[in-house]
Amino acid sequence: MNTTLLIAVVIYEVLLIGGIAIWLTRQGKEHENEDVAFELGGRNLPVSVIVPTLALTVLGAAHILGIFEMSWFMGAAAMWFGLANAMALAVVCVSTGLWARRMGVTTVPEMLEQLYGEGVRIAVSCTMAGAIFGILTLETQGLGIILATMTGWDIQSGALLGGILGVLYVIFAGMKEVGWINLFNAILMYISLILATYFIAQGLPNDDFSSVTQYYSSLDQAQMLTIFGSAEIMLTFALGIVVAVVFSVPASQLILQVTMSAKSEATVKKSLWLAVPLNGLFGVFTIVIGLTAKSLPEFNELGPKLAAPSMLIEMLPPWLSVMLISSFLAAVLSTFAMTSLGPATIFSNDIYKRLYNPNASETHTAKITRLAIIVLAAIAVAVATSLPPILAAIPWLLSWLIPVMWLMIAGLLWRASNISAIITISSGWLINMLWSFSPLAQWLNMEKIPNAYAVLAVTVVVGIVTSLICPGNKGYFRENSTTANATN
Amino acid sequence: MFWTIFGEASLIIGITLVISFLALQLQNKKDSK
Repeated sequence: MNTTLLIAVVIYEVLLIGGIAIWLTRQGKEHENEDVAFELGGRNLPVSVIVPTLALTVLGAAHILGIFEMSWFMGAAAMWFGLANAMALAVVCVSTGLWARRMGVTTVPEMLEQLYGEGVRIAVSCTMAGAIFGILTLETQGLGIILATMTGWDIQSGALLGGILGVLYVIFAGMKEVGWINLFNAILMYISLILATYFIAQGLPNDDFSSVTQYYSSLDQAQMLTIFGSAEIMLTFALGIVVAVVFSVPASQLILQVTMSAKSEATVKKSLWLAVPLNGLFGVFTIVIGLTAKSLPEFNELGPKLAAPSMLIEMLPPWLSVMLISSFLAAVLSTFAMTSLGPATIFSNDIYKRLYNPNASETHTAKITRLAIIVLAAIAVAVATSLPPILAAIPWLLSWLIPVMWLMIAGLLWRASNISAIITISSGWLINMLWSFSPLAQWLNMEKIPNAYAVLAVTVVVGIVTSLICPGNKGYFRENSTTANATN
Repeated sequence: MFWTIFGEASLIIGITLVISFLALQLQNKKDSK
């Protein structure tokens, strides 16, 4: 058990979160009547805050623990998980993120109500909040594992401490708080990753990674050292993960809440240039760490889950271990914060305010959002240990969002038909359930086809056919071309 | 090893950014019409 390490990491997180919360709370008194101050930072966040928040929101437990483990089996090709998220961020910055900011909405379901009516808003609210909550439970599991590795505690206690830190990350000032903490954590993250890679190389023979290359070459596994791996990995894993992430993440509340908070559309466009590399290159460091740990006999015998974290604690000087683990924890905490803020905002705006209290003030709605964050986080902590492994669950959860992406693209740019929307989302969601929980894939002899492919295929086919047949209106931006061209 | 993986990842990210840049240019052109 490494108590000093744990105390140092917790002190860093508490000081950073506390300092920013106090600063923002003082400032907040002047801005408390701003439009959606808590949920969207008053729609006034600058590039310096949007960049790290975009990058860190889709960089969580799977990027760290998942890539450590995946690189053990498939080598550098595991990088495609990180690259898929970077590609999704690019899609957000050139399309869905701009659309969400332009329409001046607070949630994705609210955006869909403008295209398809109330029924679709409620259906998507429930499903999207559920899918993002699912990711929150997995992030909580990740927090539990990271803290348990450091301390020797059980995962449940680690998840509880992580959950408390995660709630503190967001509860004081909402989106603004998450954004500013992310700015500091992103800087810390890259400094510590670069230093850690340097120190690990110094600890290897020849002071570089040549011994790691030799290890894999001697086993005739040179393909482990390139992100292009083997043709089979490219076709099954790489393409599968790119499809699952690129066709789901850009439509999720999780990431669009960030662009809705931006000062302007130009802020979102500018953020592209830094957010994409900041997010995408993170995986390079975790893969190098994972591959190195496997090549060293003393860590190899610990297996895929423990080798890399143990190597970091043993090979790095204590001050750098504290920095690196703090930054890993921060990456997971930032995703925890956004995955709790996202469904909480959907609950307060699309369910509570829309259905039960349409005249609720901004301050009252923010209170409901805060309450929902605490309830969601508490449930996530309670169920975190009885969940499937992080990487097995994420593609299934993301597949729920693929039909929503279709509704957004079709309704804004092509044709908005209420009946088609209902049929399309129902078909997409049904096939996701059947693919996982019935022998359908087996009957079709397609067990190796991931959920994302099946959901995407059904969504596109049903979406196109029903849009052509069912009555509907022109796409929102085709009908409102002046709005489409406005605001930079 | 580090630089190979870094270079390959940078290549993919670079291609993503170039495509995004072209998409933004196309949008700007369309909007200015």
